[in-house]
Amino acid sequence: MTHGRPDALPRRPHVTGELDYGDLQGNLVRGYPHGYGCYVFVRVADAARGRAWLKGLQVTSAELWDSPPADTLNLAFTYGGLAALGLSPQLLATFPEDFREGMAARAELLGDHGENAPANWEPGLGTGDAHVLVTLYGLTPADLERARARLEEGLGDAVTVVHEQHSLPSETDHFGFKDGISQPAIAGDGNEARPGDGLPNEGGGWRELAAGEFVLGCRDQDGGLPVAPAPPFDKNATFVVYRKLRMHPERLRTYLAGIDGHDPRMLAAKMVGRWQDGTPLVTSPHGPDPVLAADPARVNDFRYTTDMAGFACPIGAHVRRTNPRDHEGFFAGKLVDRHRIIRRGRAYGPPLPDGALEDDGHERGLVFKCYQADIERQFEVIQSRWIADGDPFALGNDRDPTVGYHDGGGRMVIQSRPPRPPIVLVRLPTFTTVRGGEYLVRPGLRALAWLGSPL
Amino acid sequence: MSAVLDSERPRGRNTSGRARCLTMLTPIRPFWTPVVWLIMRSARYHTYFRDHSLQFKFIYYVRWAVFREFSAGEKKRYSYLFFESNFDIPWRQYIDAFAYVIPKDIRVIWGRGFSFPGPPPAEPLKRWIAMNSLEGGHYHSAYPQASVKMTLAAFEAHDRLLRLKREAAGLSPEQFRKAFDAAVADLQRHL
Amino acid sequence: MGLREYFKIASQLDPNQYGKAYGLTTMIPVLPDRADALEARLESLDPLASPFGALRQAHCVRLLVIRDLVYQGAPQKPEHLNQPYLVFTASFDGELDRFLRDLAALPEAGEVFSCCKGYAAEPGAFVAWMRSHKKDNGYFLTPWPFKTVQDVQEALRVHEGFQGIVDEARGMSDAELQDKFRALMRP
Repeated sequence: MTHGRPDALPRRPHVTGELDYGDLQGNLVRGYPHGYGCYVFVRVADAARGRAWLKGLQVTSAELWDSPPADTLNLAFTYGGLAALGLSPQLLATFPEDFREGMAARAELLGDHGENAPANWEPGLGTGDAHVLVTLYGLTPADLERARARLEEGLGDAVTVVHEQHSLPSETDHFGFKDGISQPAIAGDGNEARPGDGLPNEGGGWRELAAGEFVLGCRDQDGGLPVAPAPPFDKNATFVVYRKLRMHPERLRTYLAGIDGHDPRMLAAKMVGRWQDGTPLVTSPHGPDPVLAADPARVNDFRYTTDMAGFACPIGAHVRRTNPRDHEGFFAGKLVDRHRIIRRGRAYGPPLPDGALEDDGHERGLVFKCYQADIERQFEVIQSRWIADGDPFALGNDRDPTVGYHDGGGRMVIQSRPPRPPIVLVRLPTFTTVRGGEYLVRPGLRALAWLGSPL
Repeated sequence: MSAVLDSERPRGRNTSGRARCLTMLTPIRPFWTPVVWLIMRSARYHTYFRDHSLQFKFIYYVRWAVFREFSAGEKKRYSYLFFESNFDIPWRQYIDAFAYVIPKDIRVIWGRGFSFPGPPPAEPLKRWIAMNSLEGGHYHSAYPQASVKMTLAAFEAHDRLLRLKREAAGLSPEQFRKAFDAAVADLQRHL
Repeated sequence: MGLREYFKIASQLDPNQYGKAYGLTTMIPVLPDRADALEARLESLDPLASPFGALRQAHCVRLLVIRDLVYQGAPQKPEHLNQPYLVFTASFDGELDRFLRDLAALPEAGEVFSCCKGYAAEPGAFVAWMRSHKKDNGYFLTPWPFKTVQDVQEALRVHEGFQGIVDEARGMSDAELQDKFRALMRP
């Protein structure tokens, strides 16, 4: 496998773009095709030497290429990292509170309790030691290794690795589902928009989102410029959420096998909102449709107005929660517009062999990464209101079945058209645990040049 | 008061469980005071504001009052619009809902004040509200863990189950199971 | 809302009433040297274990101290409060006098309201004093104007119990199911 994205979706044709591709870092508006990834969190001991190290790095921009380079390099910084690199207190104070506090400090808001609490995270994440995230991608494992070796050579004494993660190309996520199908269509990003990726228009069709939902310095859906830090971080920058999610397919398989009278693959699809091949439940409730799933113009083109009762796609299903589209209570999508994210996550760890029902001692999951102009309004609303709670959907305290933290008592109702009775899944275990995460800022290339210059 | 309200802490002084309270006291342009008063007082006779406010299903209790004086000895140049809303979602999403779905209502009620940033857009309105939001003190709710939707669902479920109780009075266990399943199917949005 | 409920509400002359609910809005001058202590006391109270919870008819109660008005900017002419005020609001069921007498009987009320000008501890005088600071609402609204606090709490209890039964229904015999339901719906 040489692609990080699902095979079902070929790269979108390029149209005229309005964004500053030379200043934007890559992988934001167009995902990289590179299959092999490496996320290196480093700690900077000394501002002067840290800046000198940054200066020596070759960062990949969003400029189009005829053929992809063998490897790419991109940079993001935590609040602690910006402070370590010698930014003045006045400049630091212009960054938003969510970014300044960091993900670990906001665990209660995010629903990261018990197993998911920062006290249980992997070393290096959430402790304040992670300053700079260097993201490397390679077309082949050898390409990635070379890039990683180059990075290592340049580190020097002042920059030490505190946490590292590799990702692998994968057709499906570790629960067996095609992932990453739905991405926001952004006006002016230079990509042809696919139906369903944008915001639903009343009466049919879709419209693109304003670039300012993801790129600071551009107008957002509200018509103004998003609140941004002071220059040089006010243009062509974005905020990053990095969240290592460990997935437990053995728990999911065991749980579903224990439910009498229902096909486990159907139950899993009901929990997710799509069939394993990506077919949306709304368009094809009775079974997957491979032809539809392979068609980029149809695989994401669906709405919930035809299924307000949840008979096709349960109201609490994962994809319905994380992007409610025109579901009831969101007023034809008006109350979803401002809560979209760009996802660039990748799988990690070897797949659990087919049929295995026990933990095999290998860790696997998703390196979840998303981009937005406002962490609190975008990622945190999805995580705290739509995943870690059910009330926006009139589901009370029920949380997202696949990603939510369940504390031994998770439940999900699968609505069914009468006379078939609804299915109530009870005592859901937690299928996805949080192993650590950080909030970061991804500046433009001019800002990076400024960061790399002496104090 | 901070110029920009940052993220809400889970148990702020105006928060109790899921319930939150937003209180504001803003001046009304003198000419408009009787108009605002009339708009408010006539609202109980029609369903416009009621339907618009309650359609979101996140308001518990809300009130508007026109203060012509603060106390017997203290009357100001302006009359003031007192607003208190008890609701169950983060305040920024509360404002988004009004700003994006029924902006006209907001402009009608508060637009008679000074320097009011009429929605849409929503962001200047949020800054204006953050500036005017009265903080601190104490807040109590009699059912803090129940959201508005949960409460409405509970009323529906309660009614349906009372009906089941009446119907089930003389049923055998097997017949009861069938009647119970019928109630479950009716209530599947509230299970 | 049904026609009968609509007419009930439309015929209510007291603007503070909305169905069975009453919205009390008061602004009470605070003794200037007691404002800090009052504010500190209010902030020390636990919102999830409030002494005002003893007012069984109250859906919600809010107390806060305001020191001054917020200036909106030109063309408004700035103006200031002469003294700090306690804003005390409550959304409750039933009669105002009954509520105020119940409030007078709360130990916490003595602690809070004694920081205000003209406070009288004697219940009759307290009721009159609170009434003198009452402001009429223009519009007071709730989605459940004819439900009391007890109605809400009972509905929530039944709903939660019902959810519990639904979760376990498959594993129960029919007789067990019927018994559990009966127990839930009693009395």
